[in-house]
Amino acid sequence: MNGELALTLDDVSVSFGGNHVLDGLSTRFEVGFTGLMGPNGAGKTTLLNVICGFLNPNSGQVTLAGERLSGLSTTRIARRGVARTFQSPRLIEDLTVLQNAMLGFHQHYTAGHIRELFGSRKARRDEREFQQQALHLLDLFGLSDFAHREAGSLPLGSQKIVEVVRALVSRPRALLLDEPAAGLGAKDVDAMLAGLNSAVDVSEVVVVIIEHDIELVTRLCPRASVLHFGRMIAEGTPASVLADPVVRDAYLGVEDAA
Amino acid sequence: MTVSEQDLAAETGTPSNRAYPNLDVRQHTGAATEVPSSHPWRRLILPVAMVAALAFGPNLLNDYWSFLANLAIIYALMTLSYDMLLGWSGQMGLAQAALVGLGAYGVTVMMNHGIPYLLSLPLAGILAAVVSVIIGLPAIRLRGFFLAIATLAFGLVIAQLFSGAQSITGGGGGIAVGAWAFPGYTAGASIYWLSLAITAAAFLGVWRLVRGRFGRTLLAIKTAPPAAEALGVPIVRYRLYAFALSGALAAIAGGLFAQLQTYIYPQMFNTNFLVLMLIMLILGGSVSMWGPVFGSAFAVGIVQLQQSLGSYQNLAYGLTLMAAIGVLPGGIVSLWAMAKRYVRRARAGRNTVDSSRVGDAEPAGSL
Repeated sequence: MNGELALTLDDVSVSFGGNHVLDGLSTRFEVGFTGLMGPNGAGKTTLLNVICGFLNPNSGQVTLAGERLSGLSTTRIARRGVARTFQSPRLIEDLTVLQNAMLGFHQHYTAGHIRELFGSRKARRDEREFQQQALHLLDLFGLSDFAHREAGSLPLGSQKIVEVVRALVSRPRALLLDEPAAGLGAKDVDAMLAGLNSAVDVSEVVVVIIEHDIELVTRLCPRASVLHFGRMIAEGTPASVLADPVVRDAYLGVEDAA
Repeated sequence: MTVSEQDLAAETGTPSNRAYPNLDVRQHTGAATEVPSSHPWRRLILPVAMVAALAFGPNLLNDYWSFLANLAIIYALMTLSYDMLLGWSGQMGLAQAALVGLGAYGVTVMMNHGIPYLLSLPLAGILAAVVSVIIGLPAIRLRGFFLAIATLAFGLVIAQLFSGAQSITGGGGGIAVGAWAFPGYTAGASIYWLSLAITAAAFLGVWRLVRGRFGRTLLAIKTAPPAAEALGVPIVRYRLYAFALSGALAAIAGGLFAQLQTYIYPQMFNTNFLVLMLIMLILGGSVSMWGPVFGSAFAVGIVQLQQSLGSYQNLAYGLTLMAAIGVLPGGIVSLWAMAKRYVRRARAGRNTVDSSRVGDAEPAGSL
């Protein structure tokens, strides 16, 4: 069953006007951590937006474990088990860290709002159980001391970690992290990595991490892919990818593609 | 694992944690597992005391002041209904006065057709919930200003119906509302207690909803819609839930308002009334339970205090509002937060410990 869990993109193209952001992209993200690298403007975030349904590709399709995702709404794609974070964290600033994290459980509640209104046993059990699970996850990421603080009062680095927790809380089968470590201090990066390593079972979840920090990718990801001008130009272990002359050209900014 | 398995797991309440074995650790002793406000019912002490005190209104106050208190209670319910839409769900609906009117006319017309008042109230609520969802349908596509205009247009159409459907509404001249009273009590005392009971129940119900998942979800949709969608929240459905709930509460308030006024006419529910509702919400403070209470009390009180000013009354009213909103952009409820911040700063200054930045967060949803 695990063997087939993979996020695949098949000939996906996205263009804004005449600008081909993704150009017939085909790739396959296996379970475990994959670093998605590439120079600015390579189409990394666009790729995430296509997978989670914010953007409809002009052609091609996205499938998760053989099920087609492209064409579905973002809400439905999320319910198929795709969760993501954003480059700049989108937390609800007035809610506590814990309440933010619990938003991730939305699709897992068993009691409806009528039960919530009347405080039925089922609703209370849901709330209690999810609260504990969220607290536990926050603890894995070193955030349990902040659980009852307003999310907006946290430093940016912690906010980004909270967003990762919120995404994990939804128990995704595919987790897409958009530069989770950008702007984080060394301590926060360590907390993020420790949390991801202990909270994610790498044999059950596809994790795609957009990340510029090569050292971080090397630490966390057994595999890396490099996107350049809407195409995958290299896939393999981080070391092999970095050794690839094509990747070096792309990163050194050789102006070859006009 | 297939989706159907996962769905099933979610439905049967046994979340499949295969991928996240760590989540199954229930007995976990992290630093902050204790929720600080673990006694949410404590927050009810003050409101319950207030309702209990208000319940003596008809016994202690003369008819005039009892009427004003009753008006403020009904205004609080109206403002609560508006807060649901504008505050919690962040949707600029401008048909709220019309929905109050729909409740008022609905109850009056139903009573004229032999439906008992106490039955007509929930019926009017259901009717208005449906109408409100129809008004909210543009919200599927429209936001902000455009939604405001679309809903305003709906409101104007409904207001037109009040004067247009002359045979059942009495037209522009208005219509008398059938009197109702608890057996053995005066009409004034009866509507007062009924208003108080319904308003208190509505506040309790809304509080229960907004402090939990429903409120969290609405706030997420309001402030970070893409994030909410990406977490699997059906945002259109929730936006329409807010319209339905808001419409139902507005209409029930309207039904109470009609009984209190004993005579209603279309002009009562025009844009002036809408502006009054907006003022009460903004002045009291939105996304809060106390905001509508303060806003409505302030609105009723200020009009009374300025009665003696005669023709300068409107001017004084406007100036008071400008001053209040200028000084307190977050509404009257923000006074509490300001006071707390002041105390904390004073204390921090004394101890020369600066715990102001990160440490000052009150558990949110503290209402």
